[in-house]
Amino acid sequence: MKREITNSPIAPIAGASGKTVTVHRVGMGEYRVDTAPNRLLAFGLGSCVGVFLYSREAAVGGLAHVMLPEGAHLRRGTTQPAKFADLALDLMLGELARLGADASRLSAKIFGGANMFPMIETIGRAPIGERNVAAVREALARAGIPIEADETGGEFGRTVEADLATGIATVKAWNRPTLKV
Amino acid sequence: MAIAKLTSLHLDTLQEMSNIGVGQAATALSQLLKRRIDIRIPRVAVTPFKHAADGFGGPESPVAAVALRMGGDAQGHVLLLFEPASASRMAGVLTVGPGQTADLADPMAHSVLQEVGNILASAYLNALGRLTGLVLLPSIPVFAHDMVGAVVDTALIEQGEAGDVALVMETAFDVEGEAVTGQMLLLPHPQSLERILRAVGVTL
Repeated sequence: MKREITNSPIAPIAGASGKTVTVHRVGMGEYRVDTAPNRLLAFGLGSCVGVFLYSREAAVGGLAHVMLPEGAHLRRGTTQPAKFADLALDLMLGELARLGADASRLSAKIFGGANMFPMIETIGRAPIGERNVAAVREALARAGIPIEADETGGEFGRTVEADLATGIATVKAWNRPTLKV
Repeated sequence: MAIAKLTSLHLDTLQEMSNIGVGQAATALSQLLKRRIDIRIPRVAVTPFKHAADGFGGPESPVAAVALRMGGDAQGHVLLLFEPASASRMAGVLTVGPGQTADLADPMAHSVLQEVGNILASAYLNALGRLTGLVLLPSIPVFAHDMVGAVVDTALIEQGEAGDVALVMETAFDVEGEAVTGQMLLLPHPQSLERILRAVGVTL
């Protein structure tokens, strides 16, 4: 399905039940929570990490497009806390609780964190994609949220669409088979 | 310095720097290809990160990209972006002959495009270096054939460490007679911006 790229919401489409499904785009450094049957979409994750939280029971979920690992010294004055792995998770958990999700019933699926330019991104420290994935895993472990699917690493970008009706995420990569996890 | 605090004078200065840098890069490419290169008007965009990859045909569009790290007295990334068809023709001109295409899955095409990236970035950074008196060094070039959003995000992330908006210095160019269009991007690290601007006498 070809969809025009606009700001969220992207475009209403017809769902299986005939009900309108809205696809919300989640840009770099943003997060969004919503309810079934809507979908959340993060385009072109390279070193960024997509964190999809879902509660089957409450049929609600959230997707964060994380840019950076936690970094307390970097946060001062930021207007965009969701760009950090740990803060994005805190923000999503707060909003999911307000939508009626029980934190103990949430599970996570994580995507991205690739090492796009392996030869030039490893100067002095681990590549940013790797550090982002580690920070996301750590934040999820602290919150006691199990990771159900982990499509991270490699040297290629990914687009992730999370379906809040089913909890299934579709992962597309250029010149690779589409995955559903 | 914070990118959000850049004034129109700063942006105009950066635009002129792009113009001079890409001008030198185009001269180098022109000598390599024996073709005229037309440079379009440089664009200096300050945008929120969420929209930063939208100016390149949408974040999911495939690109053939060459990335280099800028080091020395200022830090950042240089990216060279081609639509895959343009990249295939560019590699074709250099490996087979005029009007020919190369298979982008062939490592030979990657090498050729990396070398093109190396020549362009070196000329660009040399020109900026002469202008500013700074030593600006390109790293080795790395090739990626992937979604443009994924290619650009890695370079943008470092800017995210210092602020909430992205600064992209972008110039498109066309190779006459070969239907090749490319874009050259400089994504300076915010901590290096002050140094770059001061070096040409622009105070902050």
